[in-house]
Amino acid sequence: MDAERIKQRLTPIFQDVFDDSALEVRDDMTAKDVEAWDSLTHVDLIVAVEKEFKIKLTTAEVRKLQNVGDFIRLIREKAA
Amino acid sequence: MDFTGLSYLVFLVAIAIAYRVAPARMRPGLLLVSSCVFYWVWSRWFIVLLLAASGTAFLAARSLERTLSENARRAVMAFTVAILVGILALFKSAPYIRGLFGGSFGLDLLMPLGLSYYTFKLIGYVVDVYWGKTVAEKSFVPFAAYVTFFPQIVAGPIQRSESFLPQIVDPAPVRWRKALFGIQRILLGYFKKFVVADNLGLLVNFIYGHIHEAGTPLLLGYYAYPLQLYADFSGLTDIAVGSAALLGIESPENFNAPFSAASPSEFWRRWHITLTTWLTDYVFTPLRMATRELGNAGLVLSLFVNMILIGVWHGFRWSFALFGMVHAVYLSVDALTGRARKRYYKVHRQADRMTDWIGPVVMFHLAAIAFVFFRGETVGDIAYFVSHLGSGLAQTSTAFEELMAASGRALAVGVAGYFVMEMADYIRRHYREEPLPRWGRWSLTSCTAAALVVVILIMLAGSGAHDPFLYAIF
Repeated sequence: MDAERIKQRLTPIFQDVFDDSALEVRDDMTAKDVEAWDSLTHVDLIVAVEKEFKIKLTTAEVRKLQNVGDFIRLIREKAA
Repeated sequence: MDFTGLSYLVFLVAIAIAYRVAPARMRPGLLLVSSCVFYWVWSRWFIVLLLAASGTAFLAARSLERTLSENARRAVMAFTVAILVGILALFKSAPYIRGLFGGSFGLDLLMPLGLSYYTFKLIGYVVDVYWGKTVAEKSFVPFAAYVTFFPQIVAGPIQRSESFLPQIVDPAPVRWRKALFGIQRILLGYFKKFVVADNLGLLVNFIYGHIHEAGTPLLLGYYAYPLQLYADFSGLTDIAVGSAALLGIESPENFNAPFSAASPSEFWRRWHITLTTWLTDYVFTPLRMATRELGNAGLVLSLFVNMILIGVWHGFRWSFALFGMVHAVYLSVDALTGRARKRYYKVHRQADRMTDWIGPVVMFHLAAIAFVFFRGETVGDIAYFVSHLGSGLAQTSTAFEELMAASGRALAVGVAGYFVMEMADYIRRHYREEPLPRWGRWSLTSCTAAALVVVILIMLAGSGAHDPFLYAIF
């Protein structure tokens, strides 16, 4: 699955979890850029992504993520 | 060598000058030796424990980077964390263990200085290396300088190795501006401590010492204690951040206008930030990940475990655990109703605007209730305090009137000082353009002037009580 396709599928998930229909997913996006992105919604996001892409992520993998670009790379690796 | 003593200031200035003059490669060593001297003065032979714990974490992290099987890596990480948690739990529970043996139990275990803070630094470091989030430090001297760093050892902030180590291994050029910032922060800390916290402390100590006596207006203690604690702890943090800045080292902040928070989750993003983010990273998130299949039950469970740990981190006492539980209830309600509230406010714009005003007022009162649990020593005291909040207002006791007669002015100064402190903070956060002219902001003249004002204020308005910092005992 290519990165663009993943990004397309991530957009509605981000919009739903962070309750913001105008949210656009970008590679350099971090939790600081999204008001509703805190430690609680962070895990909601992980759960929603796991369900969408049928993958399982570990705490260590999640902790290492620096931005959404990293997240997309991780999903790509896991879903391959 | 108390942070507020003259000997500390002399020590700090001497180290700052030596540190800035010394060649870069000698600085980590110089910092380590200075921190060891500082620690020895406070806590004597506990320095051995501090260095041994640092050495253990250092070696464990190095071994985690060797080619080990995943199981072996996990065992090394878990074993090291267990040792560190064990040391912390042993000392925190020592008073109770002694109590069980009727006080005759051999060793008189005092609390080693900064144990709660440095064990958290070490646990975070080992887990981060295990997760691959950070690389293990190759050399022991800079690592030990990080763990023992004297401005942060008394009461934090709990800085992460990845933000601290590059600053001493590859230091930025010396900036006079940063040193002046440090001086200003230290002065601000003294102002908060002597003019605000210690004066308010006169009232708070009296009220909490006379909880069950009719005629003591508990409501005053309810309002004064959060202000005293905030002034005291943020003042201590200012001195720590300022001292580090004098050495050219940037520290994380611990507070960001906590009483402007409009919700419990926002409060914890603004109060004791480095402890909260630490627990979020190493307790809440792993636990929440492990319980994510359980939905809301997993969320509430993770919040309770996390908040009870925040509570008992301050000491193994029922009241601290209850303090954590009260906040866990707040946070659970906040998290579980978040979406519904957001939907409601999207439609009801007027109500949304009102919450901007009402939110912080309600949150302050909720936080203040929780602080009664934090300050009250027994469950009986706390229950009495909370259920008699309105008592004593109409009829005051002689002891209370004597306090007001003797210290009324000091209390007024404390309250006024608190407002000055909040206003200055508000201005600093809201105006990018500083309200003062350039020469007044950073110059040596302004620092000297500010120092004079603070010294005069402390001489005129200090309570003379010289209470120890509230957070230096954890």
